[in-house]
Amino acid sequence: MAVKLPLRFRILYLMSTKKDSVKSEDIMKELESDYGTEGQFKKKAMDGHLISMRALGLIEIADVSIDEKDELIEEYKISELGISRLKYLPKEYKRA
Amino acid sequence: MNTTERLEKQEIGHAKKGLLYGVASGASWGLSGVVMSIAFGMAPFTEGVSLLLAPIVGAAMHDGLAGLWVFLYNLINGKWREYGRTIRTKPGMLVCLAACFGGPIGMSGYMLGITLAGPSYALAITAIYPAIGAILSVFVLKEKISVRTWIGILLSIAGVMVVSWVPPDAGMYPYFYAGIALACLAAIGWGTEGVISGFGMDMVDPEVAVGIREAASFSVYFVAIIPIMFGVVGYQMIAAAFTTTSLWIILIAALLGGGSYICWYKAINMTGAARAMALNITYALWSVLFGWLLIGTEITPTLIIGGLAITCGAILVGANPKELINLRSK
Repeated sequence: MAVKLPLRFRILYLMSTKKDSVKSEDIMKELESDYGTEGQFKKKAMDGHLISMRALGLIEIADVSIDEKDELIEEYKISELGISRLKYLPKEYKRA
Repeated sequence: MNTTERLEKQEIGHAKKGLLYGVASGASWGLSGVVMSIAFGMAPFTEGVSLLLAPIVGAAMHDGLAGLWVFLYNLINGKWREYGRTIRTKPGMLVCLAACFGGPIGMSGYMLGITLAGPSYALAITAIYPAIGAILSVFVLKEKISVRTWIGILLSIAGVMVVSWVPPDAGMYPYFYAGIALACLAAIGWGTEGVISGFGMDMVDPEVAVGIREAASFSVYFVAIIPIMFGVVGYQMIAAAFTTTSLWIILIAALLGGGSYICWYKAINMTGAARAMALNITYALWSVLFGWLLIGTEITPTLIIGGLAITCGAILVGANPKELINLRSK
């Protein structure tokens, strides 16, 4: 893939390729190789993107649980609105 | 507390933070305006050959320097690479379009309105922009707006009008009606900006969006508005400003203005365009408060009554954060 997408676009694209829901940590792992060296690539910032994208309706909560550290773990999937926004991605990111 | 309750609590917390950003955007915009008015009282802005020169050049410098501050901020938080990536996408281009409505149309109209019709009228009229934005956001963004939120928006606008109202002085403002028309244009520009950026910013990081917004606005001023309206004289004033103390004052105003824009765009992202705009216009109240503290603006009974109306309106807008969890109707 030629152009690197803005992080938020990439998160949405990643979710569009997944059948199952994803956690913040999963996204971090998958995008590590492309964005890992950048200052913006932090867990807190990632959580912030996800919670805003959910409020805006681009993604939905698929499941939520509490882990052993008593932290809330959300699992997200792309919403219909999110899918409709994929048209803004560059050609090489569009799927048939 | 079960899992669902914790999730709801977290989401309400996010929405409430968005409301706080909205208020912070109003406070910093109010302070930025007062600081700009101090700069306009200094050389070279007092020596303009045309009545319109200083406000436009000042607005251009404000946006340019604010863009620089925001870029520094994004450099520190590691987002500077996002500028180039974002601008190549359609939502990124929408942010540039929003910038043209907000900067060259909104800000110039506002500055010219202040010059030609006086600050009270310009402020009162431009404060209608959230209503314009709210109407547009219902249709364009499909945002949910309750009756209570509408009452809040209208009450805030009424408050701004009360705060700003003083009888017109025909002797001081010979181009009064042109000023009123330009202030109306500014309100339309800002309302449109909020809605377009709400649309583009589903996908764009708000902090990056503001950086692009300020840079795009400055570029339009620098390559189109200034040369078309003033020619070389405009550039000469910018150059002159760089050698005087007024530069430092504008740097402070731009820092506040850039910060205000970050808060505003974050609020749009977290709490919706209509509510963010309604909280943003509390700037009318803040500018009175800061004007009183910094440059000795007089506090009158109408200021207090109007101020209360603005505050009550803002509270109504943000009263029930529960309904903010889903910003859009399905």
